[in-house]
Amino acid sequence: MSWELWKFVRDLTTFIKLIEKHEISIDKSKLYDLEKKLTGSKKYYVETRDIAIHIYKKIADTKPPGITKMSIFFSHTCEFNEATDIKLNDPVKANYYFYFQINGYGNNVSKKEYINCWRLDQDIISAASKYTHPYYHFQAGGRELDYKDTGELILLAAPRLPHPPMDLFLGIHFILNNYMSTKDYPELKKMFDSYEYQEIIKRAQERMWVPYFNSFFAGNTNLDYSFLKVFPLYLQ
Amino acid sequence: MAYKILYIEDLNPASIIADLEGQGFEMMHHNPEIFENTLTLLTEGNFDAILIDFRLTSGTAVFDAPTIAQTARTKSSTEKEAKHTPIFLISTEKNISDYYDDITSNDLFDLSIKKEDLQEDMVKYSIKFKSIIDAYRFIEESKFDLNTILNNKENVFKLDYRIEEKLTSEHFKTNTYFFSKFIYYQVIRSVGQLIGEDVLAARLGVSKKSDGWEILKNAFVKSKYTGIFSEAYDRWWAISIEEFCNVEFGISSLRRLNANQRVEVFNGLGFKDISPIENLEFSTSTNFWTICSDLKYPIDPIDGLELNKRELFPWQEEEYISILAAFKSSDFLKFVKPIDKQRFIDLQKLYK
Repeated sequence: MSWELWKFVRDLTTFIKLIEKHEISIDKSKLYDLEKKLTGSKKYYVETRDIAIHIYKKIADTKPPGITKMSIFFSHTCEFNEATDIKLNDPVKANYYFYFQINGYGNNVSKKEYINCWRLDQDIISAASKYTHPYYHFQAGGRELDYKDTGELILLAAPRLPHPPMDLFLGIHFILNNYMSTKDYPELKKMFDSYEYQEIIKRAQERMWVPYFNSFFAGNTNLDYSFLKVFPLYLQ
Repeated sequence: MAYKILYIEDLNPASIIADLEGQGFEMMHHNPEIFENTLTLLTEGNFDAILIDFRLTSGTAVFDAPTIAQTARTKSSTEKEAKHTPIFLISTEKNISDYYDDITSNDLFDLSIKKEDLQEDMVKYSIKFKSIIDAYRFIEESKFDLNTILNNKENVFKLDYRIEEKLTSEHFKTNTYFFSKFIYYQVIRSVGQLIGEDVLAARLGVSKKSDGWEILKNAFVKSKYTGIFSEAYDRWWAISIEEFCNVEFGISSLRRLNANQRVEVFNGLGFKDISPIENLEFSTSTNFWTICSDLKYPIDPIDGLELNKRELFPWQEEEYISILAAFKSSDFLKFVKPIDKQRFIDLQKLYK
């Protein structure tokens, strides 16, 4: 099964080597820290804060247009509940956390700083929510925006977009694919194409995505990943 | 405790001897003439450290410091029960002291200093000499027990296991010189497990020049490193600083806050007279986390050009120079990684 800690640690070691080899601008110290924490640990408890990813190329259609570089700080917690029967429930514990903050910087003259952030939440079943809460959903914003002068933009927590859960590898894969173009970063393409990288992502998909997508099929037995929880807007 | 130093020098040793005696060292001078005599003194004389000048050939000697040091090191590494003694190299030539101050090219000396620098700052170097001598003594006394040596009882500071793995290997575990030197260069003098005051200020976003800096700094006394070399180097355990901010101050992430926000939080906690660090020219982010290796000034790595100066261990953080230092033709420019060299070329065009 894919939830074995040693597999994750081995994948993490390979992942760090790939980042080094292809010189992708990800702060490796946090990954090394995590590798250190997990080595010798008995618990599948992945926790990391603020892995910095630096982007020096402009992303098409970025507003304001003066932004010349960005730091993305990725934070994540994922704990595996060993008591869970994977056929029936989601093994990811409720302390699941997936958050990334984007800091954009203007040119040398304006010294202005811009911020945006996204979080992928696991919906915790509480009193009937007033808005739709797909079991896992992406939404913009976060507490960190409290510090910011919001200018003329309106920032809303809605919509909550259904999205399958992601772990550390899928999270970084998501950020790299969305914010770094393989045209500007040809090494990225080489990394994505490498066998080791693909195997790491496939194993992560098996853990995080297979139960999610199974919810769309008849015969699904998982109570957390039921079709209506995953996609509550659907009318039967 | 007395510190006895053997000073091997073919030129007039009087002024350095007088200066070091003034700092509390017991000095003995030896003028090298016959290799065997010098070697015997070096390996069998009961000295706490050896101070040796690089060039020894002005008189009858036909050997220089590395030759004698190499022989002595080999002798103490291969003979059981052999005594290990710190060796400090001094040289009037900057290229020589620089060459041996680089861990990759130096497997002989504990310290390499320019003679002029030593004479200018006897106090600073005396503290370093004493801390290295003390380190040797303490390592042997503690029987190479790493957590005792680093004063990291019950591993409260969560030392990277790879440091321990390295230092318990055959190569290190009985050789005081290798052990001491590894900690000195790869732990104390590298940003990662431990950070110095400049990096601490960068992470807190607060200028060291502000009146309230000492008070803020002292709030982190529990994170202070107190193991070997701590008399000569002020260091803090990096992980502990972040944990302390989180647990005691409720700051979930220093990294994500810019300098103004960090200062605002510390002001809210009652720390007064602290000002945020001003940015360097050409730097745009104030989410400071490290320092420019050249200017020793805080930068966010996003504003840095990454250096390829040496192979890094997993617990060591990347080193950078600021764009400003690069524009000022920093000596470190030659170490900038090719990918960032290209970025610098683009920046040069932009700011032309």
